[in-house]
Amino acid sequence: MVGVGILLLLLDLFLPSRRTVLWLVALGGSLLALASLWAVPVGRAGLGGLVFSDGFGMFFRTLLLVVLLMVELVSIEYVRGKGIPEGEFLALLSFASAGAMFMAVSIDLVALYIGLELLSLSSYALAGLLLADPRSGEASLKYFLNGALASAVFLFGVSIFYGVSGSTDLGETARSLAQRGADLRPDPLSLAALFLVLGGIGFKLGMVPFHLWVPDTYEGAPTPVSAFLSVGSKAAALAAFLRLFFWAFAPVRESWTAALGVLSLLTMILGNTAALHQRNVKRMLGYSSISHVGYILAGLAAGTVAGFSAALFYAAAYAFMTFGAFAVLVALSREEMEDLGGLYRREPVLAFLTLLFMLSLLGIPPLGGFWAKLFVFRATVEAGMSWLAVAVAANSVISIGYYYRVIRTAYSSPSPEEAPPLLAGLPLQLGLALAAAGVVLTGLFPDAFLRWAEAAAFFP
Amino acid sequence: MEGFPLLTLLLLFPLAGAAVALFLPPEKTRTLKSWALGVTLGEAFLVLLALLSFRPGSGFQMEERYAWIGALGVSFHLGVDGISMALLALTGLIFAVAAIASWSPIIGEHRVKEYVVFLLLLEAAAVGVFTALDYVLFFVFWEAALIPTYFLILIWGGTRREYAATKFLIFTMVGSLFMLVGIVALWLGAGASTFSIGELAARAGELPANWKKWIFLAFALGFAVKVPLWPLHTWLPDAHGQAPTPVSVILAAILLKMGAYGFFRVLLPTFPDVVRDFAPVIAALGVVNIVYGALATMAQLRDFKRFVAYSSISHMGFVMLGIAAGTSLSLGGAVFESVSHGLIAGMLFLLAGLWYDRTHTLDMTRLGGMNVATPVAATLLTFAAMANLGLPGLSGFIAEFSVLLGTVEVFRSLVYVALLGLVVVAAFNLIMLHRVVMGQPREEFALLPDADRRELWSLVPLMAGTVILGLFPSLLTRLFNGSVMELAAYLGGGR
Repeated sequence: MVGVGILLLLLDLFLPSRRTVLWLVALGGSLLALASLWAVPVGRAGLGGLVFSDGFGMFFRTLLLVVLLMVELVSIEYVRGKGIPEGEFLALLSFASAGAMFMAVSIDLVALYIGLELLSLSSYALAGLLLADPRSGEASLKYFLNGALASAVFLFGVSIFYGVSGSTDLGETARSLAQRGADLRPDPLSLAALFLVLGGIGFKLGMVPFHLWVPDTYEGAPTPVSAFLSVGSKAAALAAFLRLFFWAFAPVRESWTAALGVLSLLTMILGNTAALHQRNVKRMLGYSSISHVGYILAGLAAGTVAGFSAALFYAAAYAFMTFGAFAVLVALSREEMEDLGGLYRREPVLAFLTLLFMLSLLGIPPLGGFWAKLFVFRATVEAGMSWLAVAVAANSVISIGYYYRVIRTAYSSPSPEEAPPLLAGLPLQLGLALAAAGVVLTGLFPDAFLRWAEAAAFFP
Repeated sequence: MEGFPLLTLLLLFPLAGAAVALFLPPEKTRTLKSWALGVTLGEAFLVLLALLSFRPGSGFQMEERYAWIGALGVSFHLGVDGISMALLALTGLIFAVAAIASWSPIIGEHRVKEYVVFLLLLEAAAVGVFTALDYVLFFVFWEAALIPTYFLILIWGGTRREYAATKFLIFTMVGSLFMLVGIVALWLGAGASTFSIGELAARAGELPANWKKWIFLAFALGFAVKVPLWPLHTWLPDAHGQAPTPVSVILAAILLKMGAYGFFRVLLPTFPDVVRDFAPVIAALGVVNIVYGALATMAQLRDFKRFVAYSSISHMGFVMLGIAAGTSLSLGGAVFESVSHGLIAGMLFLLAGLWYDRTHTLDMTRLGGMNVATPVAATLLTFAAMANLGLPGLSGFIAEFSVLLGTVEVFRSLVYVALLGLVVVAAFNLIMLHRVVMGQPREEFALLPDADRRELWSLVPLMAGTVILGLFPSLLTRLFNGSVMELAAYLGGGR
């Protein structure tokens, strides 16, 4: 399997300590991995049935590798400027991505858990890499304590499923659920396990009520790491979530769609209202990412193919726009709202990109964020969950409040007294350009991306 | 000209102009302003070409349609009927006038490059709104018009610009989100297969009545904010009052018309029966606009720009009343009023700006005696005020007269109330003239330079427009008669 291959490749090469070489290898590695995805046969199981290569896995691996590439590009200058140990940073980032990709292709509960742990453990360390900043340590510790609990909960759920079905294979889980339950309803034990697993994954997704770590961790972690956590880590969690719920738990769909709808509603409302009050842009983006998870869950709550592909499309569009927003902060190497002040006068291009990302997050056509919301909207209405569609619309209106504040600050407020020089190296520009291109392309040609998402949507 | 993508060209020309302006050196302000003027004049010329190749009649002409997002039924679909052609002509004229007015000291040397870029982007967006026949396209242009306007107020506005720009943005943004909800609901209701305005209009009849009512309300709210219909008008005096002169001209002449245009393009053809149900409400609100706007103007006899802004609210009331009545005469009057008000409000704002540039005050009580100080400008103001109060022989009279005449058989009592409003309109215009033109000028304003050549170049075309349309209204009416009659027939058959 290719994910493992890359992992080994990167691992071996990280031993020397020549710095520029490290970056080149990391970038080359992600590019190579991206290219090698084309060579991977589709529809084959590997590693003794632990992983399965299908359109779905392909979709997420491509997305995750693009994210990894963007994160690497934008972090070079930042990491050097902040004195973050480069070798560790890159190695951990690669491990985390490998874990994330492994999650995307796993069709076995244990394999899924291994991927999750690889991703999590690397992420805990990544969040704490700003050694000089106590907030970074706090971010890491908070993330770790919550995350360890979530992992345990997840593992507990998994063990129950194993006890019930006698196998960790997701297909087997589905069969046993179908057998033991009646009328598309699971037996109580499986239901408990199902919600335990939901809690474990929900933590990674930043779903309410497992979201408490998100703002603190995003605020304290190095900005590129926050970007990775909010984009890459969430995409992996989403992949795992989809595999579990739409594959293994699909036979008892009735039992969780309604609950998911309610969770989605709570997630978007809480994320949005909390984001309104933030002064720290990273924190605000943390809450904003929670609300976007709410929208994605709304698509999933529909429980249909349309909802499924809407969620996939959303994940892609979300990755570009949220990453772009974080990348702007990386370029500023500051993160308070005031630091954006007068950006328009200092850096018109960066200000324009900020505008672009904010408008897409708001859901203004013709940018990716709009179509993402539209597809979710369509899926929920068609599934007869109009109340959820109304909630998506209403929450988008609320979100004007905080996205608009970013725009206004960047375009009209005075510049801060002393602003550190902007980072503007070529790699950073490339990373920003990639994100912007993603936002615009998903906006102008949504049907191409949607077709891809539809092809990736497995459905029982 | 058959088959030539003139509308696409109309759309791309100012866009390309804006793109070129990005590469002009920012310190060459004269070059930049000349560039803006050149592009807007070129655009006006293209509009003229479109006008000449337009054949009066019903239905859409010069249609262009290219598939864009096939899976969702979005297409790049442009076309014009008589109503959009009339507003397109107004757009071409007003932007050229605004470009001339941009030499005013109020823009001065302050970030001219960005100003020019935003101005040209706004023109492209306005052209887009008036030509789009696909909802996604329509919405994109609708929003695209909002953003440059916001910045034009925010960066070059008066002392309370930040407040005004923010209020403008929030009002119109929330309004357009409602519209977006309406679009999506309509799209879903008709099987989620097309965003074409025309095709959805044909299918909307099959929707359940309740559903139709809610979609109508969502759209109507979005458009009403833009018109603006009382009580959603409160952003307008701030935005128009704080914007720099050329932008105030555009706001009043073009952007308000987008709201009315939404009724013509979307609501009347798509929901004729719901419009009929709601007609009394719209008409009543229109009359409230007329009377309330007029009374509020009476209370604004200090700040010149707020005065013009409130008088715009009053005039937009006539447009809405004409739309609500739905007869071919009243609908035609509404289109006519849209154009006519564009010319007249444009003149008034230009004159307010003219004196502001010289005296740095918008306070009419401090002006006074301008027929002594600046006789030419004072004469122009007298003319504009006469046009504004609806003097026969000028365009405003034709417009308001046809609205009232077309409405009288439908909402008789409302017309009486509107007539009362007209009395107030006449009164405030005369009082304004009395304050600004009559008497002796203050000492410090006694030696003001009169209107210069540049200002005359911006004012005279608008003045000529009001006279020509007042004397030969058929020049304009023959453009849109076919479309308006078709709409009226659709709405109520021969009423």
